Order: sequence, then C-alpha cells, then structure tokens
Amino acid sequence: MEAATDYVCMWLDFYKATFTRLNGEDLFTLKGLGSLPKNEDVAMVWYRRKVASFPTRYKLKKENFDNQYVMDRFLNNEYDVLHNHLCYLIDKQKWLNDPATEDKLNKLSVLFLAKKLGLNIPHTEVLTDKRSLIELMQIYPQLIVKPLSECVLFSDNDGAYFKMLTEVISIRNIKAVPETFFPSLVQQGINKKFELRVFYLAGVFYAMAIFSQENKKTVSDFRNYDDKRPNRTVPYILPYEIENKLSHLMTALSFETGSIDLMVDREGNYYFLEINPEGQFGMVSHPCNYYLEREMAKVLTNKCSA
Amino acid sequence: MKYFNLYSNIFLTKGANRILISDLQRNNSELQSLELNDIIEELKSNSIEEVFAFYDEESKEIAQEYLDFLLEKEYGFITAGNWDKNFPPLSLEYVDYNKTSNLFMERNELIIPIKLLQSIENLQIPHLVIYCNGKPSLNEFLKLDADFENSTVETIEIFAPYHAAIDENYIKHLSENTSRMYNLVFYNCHKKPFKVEDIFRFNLLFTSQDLKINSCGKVDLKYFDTNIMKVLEAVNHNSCLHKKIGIDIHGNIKNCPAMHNSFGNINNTTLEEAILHKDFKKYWNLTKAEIEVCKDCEFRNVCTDCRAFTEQTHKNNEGLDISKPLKCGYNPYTNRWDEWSTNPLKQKAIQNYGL
Ligand code: SF4
Ligand code: SF4
Repeated sequence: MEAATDYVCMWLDFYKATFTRLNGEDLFTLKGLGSLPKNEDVAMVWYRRKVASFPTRYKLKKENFDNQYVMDRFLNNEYDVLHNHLCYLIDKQKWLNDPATEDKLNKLSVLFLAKKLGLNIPHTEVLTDKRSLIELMQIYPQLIVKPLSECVLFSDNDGAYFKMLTEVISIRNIKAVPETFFPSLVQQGINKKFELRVFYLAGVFYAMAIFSQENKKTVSDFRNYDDKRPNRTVPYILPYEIENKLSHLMTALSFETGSIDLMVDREGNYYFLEINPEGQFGMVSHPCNYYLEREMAKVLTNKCSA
Repeated sequence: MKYFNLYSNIFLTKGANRILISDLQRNNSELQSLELNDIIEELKSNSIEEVFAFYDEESKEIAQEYLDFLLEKEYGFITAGNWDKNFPPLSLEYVDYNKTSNLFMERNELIIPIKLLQSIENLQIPHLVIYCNGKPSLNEFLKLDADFENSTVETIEIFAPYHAAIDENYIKHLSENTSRMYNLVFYNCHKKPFKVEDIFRFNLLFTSQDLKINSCGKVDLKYFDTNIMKVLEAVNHNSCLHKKIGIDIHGNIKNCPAMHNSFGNINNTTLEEAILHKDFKKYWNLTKAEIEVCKDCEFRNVCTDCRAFTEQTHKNNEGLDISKPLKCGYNPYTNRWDEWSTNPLKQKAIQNYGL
C-alpha cells in the first residue's frame, strides 16, 4: 500500500501507541456499519487519503466508453457517501485536519487567502479568451496555464496516459491558443531560482528546495520526473516571516498538517502556490533525512496522551 | 561577489591522498583529487573571486576548471552577495524503529525451529539471511516463506548449494508461490541450468564459486554502494554489525555466524535474552573512524566493516578489535589494490582463522 503510512505505523508501534489503520480498500470488505470505528474509542484521527484505487474494476456487460465513464463516476460518488460518513462518525476536533475543510478546499480561494495574510502570490486570473490573454501578456510576458482543480490523468483508448500539468504560454506559442476557451487558471510565470515543497506539521515547517531550472525538461513542473538526473532536492530553512504568515494560513484553514508549495524567484522573492492537505511527506522526508514518519507518529502519540 | 554553495547531499570523504565525492541523492560516488577538496574548502569561507585571487595566472585556469566541474556535476550552485544561509547542512542522524534489522544464520536446512520463529516475530526482525549447507527442496523453500506469512519479515536472502533438481520450473514455482524471497544465490554451480532473465520476483544468481560462511567479508570496489541510509548508518554505527544477530551452524548466537564470541545457544537461550547481554552490542557503534587504516581511507563510508576477519593487529582500550578488515587489499596511502590473500603481512591472521 503506501510506504510512508507503513513507516508511520512502525513508529507508532515504537512509541507503543495503540492504533487502528483503516485503508480505503477495507471499505470494500466492510461487515456492516457496526464495524466502523466508534467515536468513543477514538482519540485522534490522521486522515491520509481516500483510496489509491478500487480493488476491483467494475465492467459493463457491453463495453461502451461513455457509459463506462458514467458508471465510474457513479461508483465514485457511491464510495464517497460511505467514506464521508466516517467524518461525521468521529468528532471534528479529533481529526488532525478538519476533514470538512479539507474536502471543500478551493485552490483559488486559498490563493487569495494567502495574499490577504501578506504572502506573495503570482498574479492570478481566470480567463476565457485569447484577447485577454494577450493583454495580460503585456504585463507578464510569460504566463502559465494550469488546472483549477486537481491534476488528472487522461487515458486514450490504447491505455496511454497524458498528464495534465502546467503549460507555459508566451508570444512564441500563443498561435496555438483558440480564440475562446473553457475558463482557465492563468498565472504570471515566475522566473524561478528554485521551488520549495514544505511539509507542515503541528507548527513546525520542514522545507525542501527543488532545483529544477537546470533541467530543461522540468522547467515548468517538477512532476515531469527526469530519472537520469533528478532535480536537486535539499533541506531548506524558511525565513521567519514566511513561516509566520504560513502559520496564520494553516490556522485559518484549521490544518495541523499539509504540504505547501512555494517558489523563489531570481530576486529572492517568495511566492505561495498551493496547499495539499493530504501532504505526501515521503518525498520530502527521505531526501532531507527529516524522519517525518517518526515526527508524525510523535505528534499523534502526544496528542492522544494530552 | 559570487559564492559557491555545495549542495548538502554531496558528501565528501577525505582519504590520505584522495577524496570520495558521494552524491547521496543520485546514489553514486566518484574519486577526486585532494586539490579539488582544497578548493571546495576554500570556497566555503571565501568568495569565488577571492579564491581565484589566491592563484597565479596558470593555476587560475585549473581553479576555473574545478569550479566548472562542480557546476557541471550539479554538486553546487552559485549565489551573489553571500552564501545562501537558508540551506542548512543535511542532518546525519540515523535512526530506525527496529531493535534489530538483520538475522544472519548458517544452517544445514531451511526449516526454522518454532522457538526461533517466535523470537524473530517478537523482535520484529525485517531481514533474514540464511547460508544453507544442505540442498534445500522446493517444499523447504515454500514452508520457509509460508512460516513468515503475516509476520514483520520483509525480505529473505538465501545462499544454498546448487543441485540437479533446480531448474527453470523449480525457480518459476518459487517465484509464483513465495512473497518474501529477495535474493537467491546457488553456489557450486558449474553449468547454469537455464538463462537467467529478470522475470522473477527475486534476484537470482548461479555461481561456480564454492561459497563458505568464511567467504564473507571480502572488500572490493564492486561491492561499494552509495545509498543515503547505508552511508548514514556507516557514519554513526558499524556498517556490518549494527542491529545484526548471527546464529552459527551449531546454534550459537553471535554478532554474525563467523564471529568468535557466543552469547548462548538457541537450545537454551532466546534471541531476546542474548541481545540483552552487556557485550552483545559492543561492536554496534564502532565506526570506520576508529579502525586502523580505514580511518584514512576515502572509501570508509561506503565500505563494509568486517569484524569477523581482521588483521588482528590493534585493540582499543575497551578491548574491541580495531584492526583493518583482513580481506581488503586496498592501501589508502598508496591507492593501490593488491590481492589480500597473498599479502605476507596478513599470513599470520589468515592462518589463525584457518582460511
Ligand atoms: S562481520 Fe564479516 S563475516 Fe560477519 S557478516 Fe560482517 S562481513 Fe560477513
Ligand atoms: S581500507 Fe578499510 S575502508 Fe578502505 S576499502 Fe579497505 S576495508 Fe574499506
């Protein structure tokens, strides 16, 4: 299943904490609602993520692409109702992150909340036509377009995947942009020195710098992994005032944990990009030797005994 | 002014005449000159311009080449005005949640007695290595794997003599019906039974060598492996014996089956009891920095520190053997690799061990 979660469990054992691990997959073998965890038995919940994938793939008798899509969506919704029921079973304050806030998290409003709290954000717009795009380009010669919601994988009929990541638009490739388009998130392109992936846990920031500029292939989004020469990833210490502002942001969202993306430009300015409350800390923990799995287990153990 | 910042996961080990640059992120190491090390040191306390000013015209070119090399390899980056103080050094802490991580046994068969199984479970040992003298049947393999179902054992490595029953079907069957087998080595095999392809769940090797338990501990460039956790363990602990338990062919519980000291026999002592013995962990924190010769060797953080076979020349004041591993032919003062087994200075120790 998931390595980082396995390690957290091992560390919980190490600290002699009693815990139950509930995997999203376990709901597929649920023996009645009575076997779900009970509020009075639970002191603390750490919610990692929903489910990696459904254990079985449900197929239609007669293959049909559109119907299959509708059915997959239906099954996802079905699953969500059961899954969300868990959030109501256990008191809100027992969750490390408030699951309701987490569920409703909106990329755009988080950006503007961050701005309100004094953090720099790249100039952010939602546009629908080429003309406005060109106008914006007068001020910010490089723009990037990225999904408003989560990043998705498209697959074609042959099973090949296409990642929907960040695209850079400038005068050079503006031709390819249609006159009008679906409302899209457009941001000022930052001439970055490095990116920061920060794991926040109970008031402490664990930051990692990612140098991706050197690698042409990954300039706009480091999720386009380059295996031969992976981006340099090294521990980083955030300046106090940035930590302070980020703390306010986390408090405002009632998050005790999450993964925060920032960017530092050539002049040394910090830009807030986004928060992912499900926080994948494995990718920060290991290269920086932070032992975040241990820290997570410590926080959970301490909160339970407090 | 410009400043060179070395990435914190670039780990330098200085030897008598050379340095080893270990890239802890990209998992590789390379040998470089002490001269490069000096430049890196100077760049830590001086700007690039200042460092260049130390050199005369001719040497300046060389200094520039070194700097280009460091940048080309992405070992560091340049900042203007000052070093970027927001980049802290990498923490060299090494911790894990296991009391013991590795059990290394010499046995005549693969089947493990119930009492021992229980101890493995109690100690939550994740990795098992079995050196087997007998010729294990397919069923023995399957039983061994099944005995650890629902246990904390993650990997099992086996060294066993090759015998005629081992063919492609045998291995296929193993691959399909076991889940913890990680590495299988069949020794004394003079003709490979089939062409080994990378299709099995485990690594598989047929070797013509007649491996013995005392074949262990050979030091060679090809065994060096740059891996952040391994390097950090070596910096803090003994790179071979830390968190290891050994059981020799007679059932004696030791630090490794080839070590001399016994802490009881599995017939009357449990592993849990044995590791509580005051001397059981005495080698666990002995690092290469304290080992004769190795302490001046650029390979010391990627090398394995064999304590079972040493040159038997030095002891520290706690009585620990701090002599160089016997089966290493490297001399860090001359940078030459020679055959260790014919070295006249090692003959006495070789005889003592009966090798
Ligand atoms: S101490 Fe030597 S013989 Fe024992 S396991 Fe380590 S390398 Fe092998
Ligand atoms: S001298 Fe010591 S550290 Fe160097 S290669 Fe030999 S055994 Fe390893």
